[in-house]
Amino acid sequence: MNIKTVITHEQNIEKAMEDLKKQLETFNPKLVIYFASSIYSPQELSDKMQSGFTQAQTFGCSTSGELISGTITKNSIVLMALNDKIISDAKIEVIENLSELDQVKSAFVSFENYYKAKLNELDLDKYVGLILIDGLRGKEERIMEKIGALTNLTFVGGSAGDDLKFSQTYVFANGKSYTNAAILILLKTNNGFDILKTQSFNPLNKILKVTKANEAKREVMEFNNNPAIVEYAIALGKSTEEAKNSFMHNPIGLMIDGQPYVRSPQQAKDNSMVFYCNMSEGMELSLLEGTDIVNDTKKAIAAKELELGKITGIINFHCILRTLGLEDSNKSDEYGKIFTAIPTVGFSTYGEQYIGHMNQTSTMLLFK
Amino acid sequence: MAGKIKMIIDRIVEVKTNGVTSLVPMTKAKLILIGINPLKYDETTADDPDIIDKLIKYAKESGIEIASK
Repeated sequence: MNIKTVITHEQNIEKAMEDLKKQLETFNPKLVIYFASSIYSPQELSDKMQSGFTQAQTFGCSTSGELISGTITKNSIVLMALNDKIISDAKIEVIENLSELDQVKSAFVSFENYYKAKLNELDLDKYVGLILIDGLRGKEERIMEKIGALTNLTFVGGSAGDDLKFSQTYVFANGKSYTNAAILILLKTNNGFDILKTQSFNPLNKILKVTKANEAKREVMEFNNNPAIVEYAIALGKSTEEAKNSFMHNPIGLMIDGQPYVRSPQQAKDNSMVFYCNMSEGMELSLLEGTDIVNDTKKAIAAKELELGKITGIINFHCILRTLGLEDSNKSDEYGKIFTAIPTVGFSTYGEQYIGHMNQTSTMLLFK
Repeated sequence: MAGKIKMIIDRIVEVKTNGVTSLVPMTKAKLILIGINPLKYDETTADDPDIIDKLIKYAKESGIEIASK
């Protein structure tokens, strides 16, 4: 076995580390990825994780719930250890201030220096990027835009959580913890990878065009030249008060190649709507209708298994709104079981990244 | 004047994909996610300075030179 996943619910970090290392037995990881509840002290955890796996590079982030093969859980640490049969090499860079976009460029210069090649010379089928980012700063769009401008390499990831306290989120790398930061990791895989982006929505035949917005605040004041909440309610065929209770089931989506890039409403603010993603004036979005997360995910994983032959491991960046939806419908266990046969770790995110930033989605890195 | 937006989009897609057709959908998706849908623009589309500025900024971040004319 070249990928092992382990979990601990021990709340004392020393004991948690003992538990995790005991479960890994003699496994010799090259890379350790971990996702931890906000109950753990971020600096102590990051420090102990690196000193506990001195031969490996370690990184991760705080969460709003964790996921491991077969189970969705809370108040735990989940860990994926990968050996050199899966990961040929890895370079970790930290963006220590999300307002300084030049740091993203510096990170990519560092990747080029480390791998001794220009970014556009790297094999797009072997090299893949991961991003873990503070989930409370609202900077995901600009960071992903910058990454997308700088490279054709695929970057996938999630926004760190804090168990729905909305106070402080952390990313961890090589023994340190950071807030208002992002970790970029450029992996060189031995057998290649694939990406799965799955969301459980169908587009309805209702278009909302953003005609007035404040991108930085992720606020839409007007759709179709009318107050945003009014137009959203009209599209739903409901009163504005009823519409405010439909945000979870009826978000909106930017349709690209037939797939929605979901933008989830967070709240109505007077006649405006605040979202978990920004939107530009002129964007045309489809009203969406929720479908069954468990069935859709089962189908998506099965289709990928058929396409790839075998999935060796999965890192699942799973939106907290999906986690809450599964809890509401009492389907969390059923969802967790989808991943029983595949070494998987993941966490409930405050946002997902792939090409851009989105909501109510699972973005997954699949190791071949 | 018209057509400059399409010209810049085509240039960005051409340089970023460097002839690799499999990269075209992702490159266009990146533009859609920043609010510029390539399908909405053709040679007759009026030159909107805000869109042009946004595209030039994106091109610059991508290391792509756009001719001023």
